[in-house]
Amino acid sequence: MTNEEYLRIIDLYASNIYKIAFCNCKNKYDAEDVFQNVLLKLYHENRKFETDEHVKRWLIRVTVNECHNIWSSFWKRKVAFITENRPEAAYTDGTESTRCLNVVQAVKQLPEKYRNVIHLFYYEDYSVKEISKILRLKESTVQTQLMRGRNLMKQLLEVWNDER
Amino acid sequence: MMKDKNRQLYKAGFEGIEVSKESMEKVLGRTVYSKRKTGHWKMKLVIPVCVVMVLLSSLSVGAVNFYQSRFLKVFFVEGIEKSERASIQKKLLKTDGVVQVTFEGGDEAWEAFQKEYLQEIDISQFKENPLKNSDCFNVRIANDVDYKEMKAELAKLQGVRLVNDYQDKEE
Repeated sequence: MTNEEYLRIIDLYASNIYKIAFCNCKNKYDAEDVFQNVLLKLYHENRKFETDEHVKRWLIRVTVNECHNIWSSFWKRKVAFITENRPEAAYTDGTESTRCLNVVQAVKQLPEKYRNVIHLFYYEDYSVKEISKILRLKESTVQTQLMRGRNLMKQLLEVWNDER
Repeated sequence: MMKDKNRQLYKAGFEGIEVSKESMEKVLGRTVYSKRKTGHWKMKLVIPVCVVMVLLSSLSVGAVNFYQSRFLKVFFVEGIEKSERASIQKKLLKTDGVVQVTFEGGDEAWEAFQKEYLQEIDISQFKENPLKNSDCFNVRIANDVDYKEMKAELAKLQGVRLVNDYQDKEE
């Protein structure tokens, strides 16, 4: 991959990668570590990507794996971190901005397997079929995880609309 | 409909969550703006490993050559008497730089040769020992002695037909 191409891909997808990392990691420092690792992997990746969408899916897959790896280390499993508290997140005055912040908080509280499915469905607008391909899961599994994730989101967020 | 509302809500929630400039600069500094082309860590190890292997192999070859160069074979003129052979042995032992002198008879040499090279060959065709005239002294010389000089010195002794070192073919 040429430097120009690499910079173009970063410009296109850096934000998406970071958001996936952010909702999978417990603090922004881990998310930034994941982000950097993913982009370094992209730089050293020798494969020829067919389309931009192909790169995006590859990046999503690598980001999810990196997040998983970061939490599977012994240190991370055994050590409790003082999580970064965002004071705004505690406000529940019902305004649009506070509701929005709570969405992120709610997603972070979901189990890991629901988090990625929910994020890919609601943020990246992928269909169940596409998510199943990206995460290499069965469609029925994705459907189930999506449904359970939605139910949890409903429990965690008052503003979340019931889709049934 | 509700799905779309949730999508809007979800997307709005992630607005403003962007990677920091420092983080982005770090990545770019290690990739496109890096002065040196970074490779995979395994690839980085290839050259040092090759260098170490070459050094080790040349060291081991050098050590073997040095060890072999510490031995000379002193052959006698044909029909030499035992007493003359004994006097050669004495002279050898008196020579500075000679550590050890051992006699190797032609029969002994033939047996060793058979064991090493003729195990699968019918040796009955050899009616007599072809190495009967290859009685010699195996002379071990000191480590600090130049084997070429020692070889030349020993070749001057009376009753000595030939001195071979590890590089020569035995005659």
